[in-house]
Amino acid sequence: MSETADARQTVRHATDDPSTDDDSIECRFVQDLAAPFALAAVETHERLLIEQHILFCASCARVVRQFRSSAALLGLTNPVATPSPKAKAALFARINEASRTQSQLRPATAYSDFTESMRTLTLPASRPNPSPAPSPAQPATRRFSPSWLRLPRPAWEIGTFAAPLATVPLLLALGIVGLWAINTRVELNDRIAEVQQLSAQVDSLNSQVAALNESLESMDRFVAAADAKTYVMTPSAAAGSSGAYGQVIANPNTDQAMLMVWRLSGSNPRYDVVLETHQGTIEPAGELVVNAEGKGVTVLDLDRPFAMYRSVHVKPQLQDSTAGTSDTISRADALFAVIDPNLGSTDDTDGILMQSP
Amino acid sequence: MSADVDAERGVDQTAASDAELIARASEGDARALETLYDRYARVVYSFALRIVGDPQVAEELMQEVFFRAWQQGRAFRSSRGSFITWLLSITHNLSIDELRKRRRRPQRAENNHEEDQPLLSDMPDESQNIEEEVWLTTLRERIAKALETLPPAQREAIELAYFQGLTQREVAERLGEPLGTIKTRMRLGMQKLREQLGDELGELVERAEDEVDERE
Repeated sequence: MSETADARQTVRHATDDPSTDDDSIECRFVQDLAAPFALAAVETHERLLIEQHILFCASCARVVRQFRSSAALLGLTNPVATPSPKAKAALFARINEASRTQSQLRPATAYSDFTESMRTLTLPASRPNPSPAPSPAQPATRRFSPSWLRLPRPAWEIGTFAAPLATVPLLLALGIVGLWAINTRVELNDRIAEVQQLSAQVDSLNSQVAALNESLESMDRFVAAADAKTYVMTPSAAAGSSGAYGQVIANPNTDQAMLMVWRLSGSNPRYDVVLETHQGTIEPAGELVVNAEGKGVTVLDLDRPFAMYRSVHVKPQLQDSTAGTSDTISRADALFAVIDPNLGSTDDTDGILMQSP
Repeated sequence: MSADVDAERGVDQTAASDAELIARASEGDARALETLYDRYARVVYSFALRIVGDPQVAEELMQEVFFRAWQQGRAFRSSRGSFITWLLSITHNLSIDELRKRRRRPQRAENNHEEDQPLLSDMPDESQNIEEEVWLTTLRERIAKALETLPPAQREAIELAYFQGLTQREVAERLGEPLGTIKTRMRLGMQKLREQLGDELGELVERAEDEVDERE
């Protein structure tokens, strides 16, 4: 079976699935790139778009996950090698270090110090009570103590229980403080875990923002750049696409361009995009997939700066993928544009993305 | 948690499922992570080595993979795939990033470490769980066979991207083919591979589901 026929079958598989009836152009774009994405073979801006899209599109997420699972298994097709024992030791030393750092971030140390100091507290009752030596200069004074006031002396000494009894409120207080400290510690641990999670999320968002900025910068290269130009694509009646229209936006000095089309024949969703150089050679620039309404958008990756080309052609793909370059040339254009630095419009291109298909 | 404590509690780490072990490891059980390491370190290392081609870098990557698995164990959902595919995905991402970083940096000398690689495919390792080892070997053979059934052009496109870290555009340049052709080859190849590996993937999913059932 030819590759093109296989491709159609693949697309049909995807569209036969009722869960993938979302025919948005973004879904088509994502599912078209799902396999290269799983192989980590897409460009940064494509990867970013796919990662964002599958966060909200369950059917595309499933397609991507399926390809990813298959791709991951390829990792098993290697001759088995064994790492050195010191690698294991180094890993667990690192993990121990990380665990220790994490535990140091928690209030455990402060709590330990606190309890340690509590442990070393000397209770008043247990303190040695050095009896001051009576000053020899001052004779001991005798207190007045009438005999009727004198209580019979019990057989036990009150002092025997006074010290332990005095410690009871103190121990109760210590118990309350201890419970409070334990609760506080648990709460603090929870807070720390939350903060760590939030911190990880912030890191992840930062990296996404950085990737997004990188992607936007690359888009700016050919869309929002001051010297970006727009070239209108003309339909070809011969290819039955007289109602079609499109435009190419490019900075003539870069090797990327954006192609947008509307109302191409949706019966054949796949088109080849080729460019002709000033020397007359034809160079393929990728594939354009349109939806049922004939809308499509793609970024053209070129082999040389855009200004080196004379024209852009959009041609319907043939059933037989073995067709060579000469067949591509002879195929009628669905759309084409002549690239002439004097013809391209330098109107503000910043708003063009807003009306893209 | 020490092995002694595990023994006291009657926890047999080697019999525990991957999902159970990663759950325990993410809660700080270093022994559980060690069991996972013993199960999959060679698989992860071999894969990283295949991509970066440098044993020292491959060991560093392997350490990073397990470190991240320990840190992000809570993110693993066995209902969405098996532990081994999750681990291999982390390995692939890290290895390809490293490969691309190295390509961007000026290289001092081109070292070919292939001859230095300690290939152990024929050497039994008695420290491994025999059942796991047999299962992995069988799985490896089935996947290699499935890959062999692909048309050479599709297999080449997939291998250049997956193991050599080339983007689809770079693959197109390398092979002198239009980008659209390369995209198609990758898609069809992966589609066929998925059809071929249907049973193996199903088995892995079943294993993961069994592990979930066992845990519940």
